[in-house]
Amino acid sequence: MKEIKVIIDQSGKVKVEVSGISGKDCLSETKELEESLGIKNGERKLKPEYHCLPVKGIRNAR
Amino acid sequence: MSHMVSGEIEIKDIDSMQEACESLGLIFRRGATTFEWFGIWVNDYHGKDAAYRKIDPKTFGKCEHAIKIPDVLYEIGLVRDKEGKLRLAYDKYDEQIENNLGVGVYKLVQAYAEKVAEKSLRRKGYSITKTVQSDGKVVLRAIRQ
Repeated sequence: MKEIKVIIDQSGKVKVEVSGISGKDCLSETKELEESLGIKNGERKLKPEYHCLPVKGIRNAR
Repeated sequence: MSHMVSGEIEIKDIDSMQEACESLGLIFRRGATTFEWFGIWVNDYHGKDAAYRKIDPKTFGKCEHAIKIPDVLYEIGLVRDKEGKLRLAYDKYDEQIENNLGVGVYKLVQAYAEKVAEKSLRRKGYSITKTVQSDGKVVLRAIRQ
C-alpha cells in the first residue's frame, strides 16, 4: 500500500512523507505534489526504504 | 518510509486560493489591482515578516488579486514579490485580519495548501483523510493500493 502524508504547519511549512514506495519511484510519485505546492527546493531526506531494491520479479533459485 | 521533503509553500494555483477563501467564508476578488490598507508606508514595522523585506514599499496596496474578510476594512493582497513569486501581503495595523485568520494568516495558508495537495493526490488516485492535530498542524493522509 502506498501512503503519502502531507503535514501543513502554522508557519506555512509543508512536510511530505512517503511510505510503501522504494527507489526513484518514490521521488517521482511526489514530484507533481511538491511542484504544485512550490516546495521543490525544500529540504529532502531520504529514508532507509529509499535504498531498498524492489523485490517484485525476483525468482527463487535452487 | 522512503522520503520526506519540507519547505515553505509558494502560491501558484489561483483557483485553489479562491476555493480556500470560500471554504473560510472570505471573499476572493479575482483580478483586483488594489487592496485596502493604511495607504501610506510609514516605515514603523520591522519584524521578520515585514513586507518591505520582500516587496518594494512603492508598490504597497497594489496586487494581482485581493481577499476580503466580511465586515473588516483592510484586505489581503496577492502580491508579486521582488523574486516574482506571489505572496500574501496585508497591513498588520488592522488587527482584525490576524484575529480572524491567525498570525501570518496561517489559516488561509493551510487551507490553500490543503486544496492544492488534495487536487494533486486525487489526480494520482489517492483516497485522502484529513485530521487537525492539537498543535494546529493539518495532516492529510493519502492512501492508494
